[in-house]
Amino acid sequence: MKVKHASLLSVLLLAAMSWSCAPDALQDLTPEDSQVFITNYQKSANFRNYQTFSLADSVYLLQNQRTGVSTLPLDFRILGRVADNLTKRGYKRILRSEKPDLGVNVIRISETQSGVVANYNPWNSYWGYGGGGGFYYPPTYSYYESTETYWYIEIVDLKNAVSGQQPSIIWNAQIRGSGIFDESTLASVVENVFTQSTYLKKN
Amino acid sequence: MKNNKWKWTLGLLLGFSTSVLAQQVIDRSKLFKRESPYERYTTYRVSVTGGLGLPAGTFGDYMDKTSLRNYTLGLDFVFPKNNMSLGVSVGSQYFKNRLPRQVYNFDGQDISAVQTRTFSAYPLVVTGSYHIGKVNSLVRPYIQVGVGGAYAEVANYWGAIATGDNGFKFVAQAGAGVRVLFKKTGNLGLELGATYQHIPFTVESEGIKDASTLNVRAGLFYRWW
Repeated sequence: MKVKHASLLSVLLLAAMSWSCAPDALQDLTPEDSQVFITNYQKSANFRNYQTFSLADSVYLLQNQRTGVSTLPLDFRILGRVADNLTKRGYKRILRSEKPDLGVNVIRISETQSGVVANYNPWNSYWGYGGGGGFYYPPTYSYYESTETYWYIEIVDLKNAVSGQQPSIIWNAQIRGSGIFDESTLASVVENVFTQSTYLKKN
Repeated sequence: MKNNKWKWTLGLLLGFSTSVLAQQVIDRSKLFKRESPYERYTTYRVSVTGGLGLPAGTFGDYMDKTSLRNYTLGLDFVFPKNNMSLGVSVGSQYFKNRLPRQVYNFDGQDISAVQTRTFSAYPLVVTGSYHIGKVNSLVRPYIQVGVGGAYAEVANYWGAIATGDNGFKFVAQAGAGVRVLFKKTGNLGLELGATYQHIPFTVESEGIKDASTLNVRAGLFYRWW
């Protein structure tokens, strides 16, 4: 009977383990549905107080600790879309030298996350150090690395900037998910962050 | 009939042999009315059930969808005289709800996303049951309580960006049900029941204070000795 109990318990344990694999919740997520549009705004800012904006002619790159500029066709296209949307909302694009009220930057951010996970897998092919008569399963380690690249657009307040101090960011947007670098969807993904920012207009 | 005859003969023989060995006289009329093993010994029961999971409480606000991915495997020691049983059960519950794209407004922040809200729990609990009716009754209603622990996870995916929390949590269960044997002296039967499961689990970002569910279960049980 003792043996029977042990085998029953192992069946229970086995069942518990086989059930412990959660299904992939995002398996059926379309690229379009994976897109996330995040906008932040400074609540004290009154967007009607600004008339003009300037936009750099290149996209900034931020890759972990490194920075740079990029002038791919795609970069010009997104800059054009951002300028279009701001113009539609009543702001006038002028040159940086003409003292604009707002400064607009478009940044492509690549964030790499890496780490180590321990897998306590009792079905390992090798046996560990037996300790005190019990079994000890050493964990194996998996190394993972994932990189996410996304668009970041920010608007800084140059009108009220104090010299010697960093101008404050009054609006920023993140465009994240799959398919955000496709030519066919670029226009709509940029438009989305403006659509959800109804307060961002001159009139 | 032939089979019965055989049993009679064997019973008689056994009866004589025990009386000889133990120097014990068993009244012939009582000999064939001996209790079944289920009434004499602690016996075993295993049950596999599955069914509908219904979110409750603050968890219901987060998870506005029922689940059919909801299983329980239980193993019990069934006591012969006092209508009780003691056991362990493991469960697996998974809820998923995908919300269509909408803009979520926060303080100074707007987020447009398709949310995939999930909850999973793998409870391991020690259960105690009280049955109405004797151990060999064809129909045995029961009430059951259980306490234990669970690995639970609340994961809310904004697009593919995961937010939420997970960890080992306390579990308390209370339920009722009925077990019906297919045959009066059989081993196999039908089990129906409902269990309320309470897991204290605070996820502030989702407004969850407890991940409580009502699990309506149906399945089979098998008993042996």
